[in-house]
Amino acid sequence: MSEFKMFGEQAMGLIVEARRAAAQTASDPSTLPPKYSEMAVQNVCRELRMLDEDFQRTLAIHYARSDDDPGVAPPKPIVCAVTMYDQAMKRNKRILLAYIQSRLDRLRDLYWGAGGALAHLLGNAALRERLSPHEVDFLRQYHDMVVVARAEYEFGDILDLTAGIDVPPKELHVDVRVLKDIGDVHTEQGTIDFRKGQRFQLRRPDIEHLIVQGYLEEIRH
Amino acid sequence: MDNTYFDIDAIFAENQKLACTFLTDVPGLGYLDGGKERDIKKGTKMQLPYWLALPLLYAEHLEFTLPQPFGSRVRNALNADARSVRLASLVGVGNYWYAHGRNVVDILDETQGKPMADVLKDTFKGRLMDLMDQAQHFAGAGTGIGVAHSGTGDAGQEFREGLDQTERELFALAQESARRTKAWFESSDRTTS
Repeated sequence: MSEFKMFGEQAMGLIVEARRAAAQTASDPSTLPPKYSEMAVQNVCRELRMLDEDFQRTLAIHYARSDDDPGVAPPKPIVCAVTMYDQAMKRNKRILLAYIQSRLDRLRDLYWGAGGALAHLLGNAALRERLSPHEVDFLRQYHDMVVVARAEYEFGDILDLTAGIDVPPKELHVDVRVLKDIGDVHTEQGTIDFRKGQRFQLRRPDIEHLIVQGYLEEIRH
Repeated sequence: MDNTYFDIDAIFAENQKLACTFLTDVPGLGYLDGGKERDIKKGTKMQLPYWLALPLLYAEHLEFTLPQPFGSRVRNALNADARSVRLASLVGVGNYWYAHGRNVVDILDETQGKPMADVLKDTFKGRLMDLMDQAQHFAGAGTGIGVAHSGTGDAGQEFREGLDQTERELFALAQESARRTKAWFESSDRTTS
């Protein structure tokens, strides 16, 4: 027995990457996802196409040499060979989909963690350069759907779907400290010009999103 | 680990190799064996990943031998004391002893599969108490398994280093849960008038 370069072996690199990223996120939730592995994905796609060619060619050679009716199952060796190509294609496909899925799961978490603030999320250059164009499209479309879903509950301040639930609010008002200059924000008490270092007592729904995005800090008593 | 289509751990676990023997010739695939042969000949032995071997086993193009990590030597050691076996050093990259074992059970017939499933189950149960015990103990000492700590001794550390991937996940969860319980006890939320 000897070692060999196995089908699907280069795709395993993507799985290793996804697993490492999951472990890092578990130990530090603020870790950004790794850069999208464009090259590795391309290589796996290339292997997929080659497997498909091998699959087709194996059958073509067999039927060219024999008088078998293409409706009849070929002999065992041929069946075994095409089964292996077929299984290798399925394996590569599964790995590609799982890789993309694992990244999308992470992006959804980031999206909700930012309180549904898409512009805030995409404004983060460090994150942006790690995403593929398709992933940015995904976030945009996902955001559009959330906006529609959220509107259903917004009448009369019933519920803000994008508000954080890590710490359930105990009171209607909240004391906050301003961490970064924001400028004019419309609230129930009128327009407020937030400047770094100031303190306010405000209605929670008016400024919830500013807390989530890190402009304001809640003062706990 | 939930063993679904998209599950990263399941995909990783299925990459574990099985020692297989081909029961048929296979044209054009000789290069998989790393040799110069064009075809695979009947009777060729090869290490194939579980995911590739699976449909070939069902179609009887292959047969396989029971992997060494689940062989009689390991079983005897597990019977003697499940806690003293380093599961982590039995399987290769990824460290999926239970997951690989469960996959192997799936391709065995009833008479072989049942005892092996029992080995997996009993091993897990036999180690669970110590696992939870140590996780609770380490709740205050940061995260991670390799943390040195006085009072638990070398045996405890040996045990932690020998944990399988599934057990590691459990360990981290139990640790986190103990940590949160402690935080809740110490928080002001608990005090009622």
